[in-house]
Amino acid sequence: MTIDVELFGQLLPGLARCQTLTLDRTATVAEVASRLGLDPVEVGLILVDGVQHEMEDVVLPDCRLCFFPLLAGG
Amino acid sequence: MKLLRVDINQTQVRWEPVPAIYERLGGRALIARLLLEEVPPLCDALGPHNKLIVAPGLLGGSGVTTAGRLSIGAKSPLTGGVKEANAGGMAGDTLGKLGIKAIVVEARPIEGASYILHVASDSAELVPAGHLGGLGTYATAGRLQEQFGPASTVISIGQAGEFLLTGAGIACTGDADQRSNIAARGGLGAVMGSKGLKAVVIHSPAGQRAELADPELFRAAARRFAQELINDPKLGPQGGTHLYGTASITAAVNEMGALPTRNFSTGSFAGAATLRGETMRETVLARGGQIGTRCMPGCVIACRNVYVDEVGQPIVGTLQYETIALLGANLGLGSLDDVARLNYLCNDLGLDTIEAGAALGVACEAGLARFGDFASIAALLRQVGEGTVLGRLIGCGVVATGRVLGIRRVPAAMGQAMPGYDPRSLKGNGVTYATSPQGADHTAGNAFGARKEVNPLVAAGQRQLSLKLQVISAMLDSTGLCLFARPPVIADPQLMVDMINGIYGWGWTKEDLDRANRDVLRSELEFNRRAGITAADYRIPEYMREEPLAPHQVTFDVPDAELDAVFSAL
Repeated sequence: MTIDVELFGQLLPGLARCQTLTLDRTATVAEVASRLGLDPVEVGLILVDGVQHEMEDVVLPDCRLCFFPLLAGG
Repeated sequence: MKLLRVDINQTQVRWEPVPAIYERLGGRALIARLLLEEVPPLCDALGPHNKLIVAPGLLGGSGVTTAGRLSIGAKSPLTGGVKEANAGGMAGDTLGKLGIKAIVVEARPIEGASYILHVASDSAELVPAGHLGGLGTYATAGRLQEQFGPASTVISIGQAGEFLLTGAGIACTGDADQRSNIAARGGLGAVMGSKGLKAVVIHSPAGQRAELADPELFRAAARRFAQELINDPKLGPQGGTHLYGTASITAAVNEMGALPTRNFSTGSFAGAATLRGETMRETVLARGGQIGTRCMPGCVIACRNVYVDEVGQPIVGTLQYETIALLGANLGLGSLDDVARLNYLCNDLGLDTIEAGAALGVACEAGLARFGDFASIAALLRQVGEGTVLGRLIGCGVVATGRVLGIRRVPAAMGQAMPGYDPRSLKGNGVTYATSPQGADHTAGNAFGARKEVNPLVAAGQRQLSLKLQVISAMLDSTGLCLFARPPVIADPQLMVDMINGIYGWGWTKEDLDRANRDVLRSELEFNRRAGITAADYRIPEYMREEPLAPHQVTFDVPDAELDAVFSAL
């Protein structure tokens, strides 16, 4: 299955901001983060198709997974 | 400390000792109590009985980082209730250093008269301001700093305030050549205009600083507070707030489906990628602008920017999230250059960008301008300064605009435009909009930062969350602390207690601080009750309860009974 991933802010500045990942099997958000090399401590907000998720949640085929750094509310 | 009373009708100024009931109050807390004690709640907000109150927070002038915000308040001509709006810049710190608890401007001027209030350490005078009539805030500040010295702090109104438009704010100068820190909300610029007060000029307090009751206690707490801000991964030198400014959240709010788009008709904007903080930073740095500047000297967060054009000339400083949301996505504009130009225009007119952006969104829906068309929108906004009937309508805010143009979708609560979070997708903010005595105001209790605590898409738990956030905001607004600087004092309120005790020697406990914060809300709610404001005035507009918001197809579904119960635990 494939998922679209986007990174925001100061997360992994050397990496492509948007990419499509192919996953061999069902994966959690944490596994996707690990594959990208993201440090979970630096992730402040995870949105899957615009809905807040946690690291242990499973991602579904064709979803859009967004990783944001820690953000201060305005 | 002392209080400066200004009788604008008799053109008299009077210093007085701070009355005992106001002694332990600052900023928003002082405004709330003073309004309750001295201003008839049913008075005409633009009439002789209203008072314009200018007050630093309790920490003002002490040198605590990020704590020099200035509160300005009055009965609001926009909401009809209590109003406090605060701004960064130099004024809060300067007044604190001069030992001035508040400036209270009273009465109405002789017809047609216009004044500048010049304030120094032990003197104050009203001088004629006729030569500044019709000028925007940038030119006003520039001329007054030429006249009174470049180190003077200027608080001024533009054309919007002079025309008594209820969307008018008040501009404060900041560090160096900064001219635009706006106490924007609630039409306070119109109150200042009604007093015939074009500007307040505050003499530089060089060499002066607030006296400290317990220097050791104060310095230890203030140092720890600053260090904790620097260590905070959100706020420190590598944090998003410093790197991308308040616009760091633009993409997240858009992805969450809460970004006001085309008059709050959808929660995500196709052009949001070009409005993000990341885009802003790249653009500003590539063009030779500035990122990470400060509105207050010594601020360790430094979230401001100077947004420049293609040839490196400043357009506006600073470009902020709320403005990007309301003057960008809400108007269908995906260009930061366009947003920056509208932002400059609002600042110069002395107009709240939130109120103006919402009013322009309604005007677009009515066909007076076109979503996504900068030229038609800017032409409409310019009419505010020209004083045309249409311009004055836009300048009076979103409710007036919607009523006159026959538009039902008016994003407002208690007469005030909603800021950059649609309450259907961020329901905690909806509860704040629908219950805060300040009307729809994210700074009164913003749930965006608490999204992990309570799911923003569900109704459950939002009542308790909003109350907690509103109490915290009352503390920030009463001490002069920037809301971004709240994490250390939320994690350990004793830190705030120590800073206050270090300055004043009051021997406060955490319980005293908590009671003081809650008293702010109690006073404000009581003023509004006496002003005749009811639950019906506070409510979220009906269409937001009935029309689902894309992309999540959600309505605002927090029951009225929950809203009515928010302050039951106050």
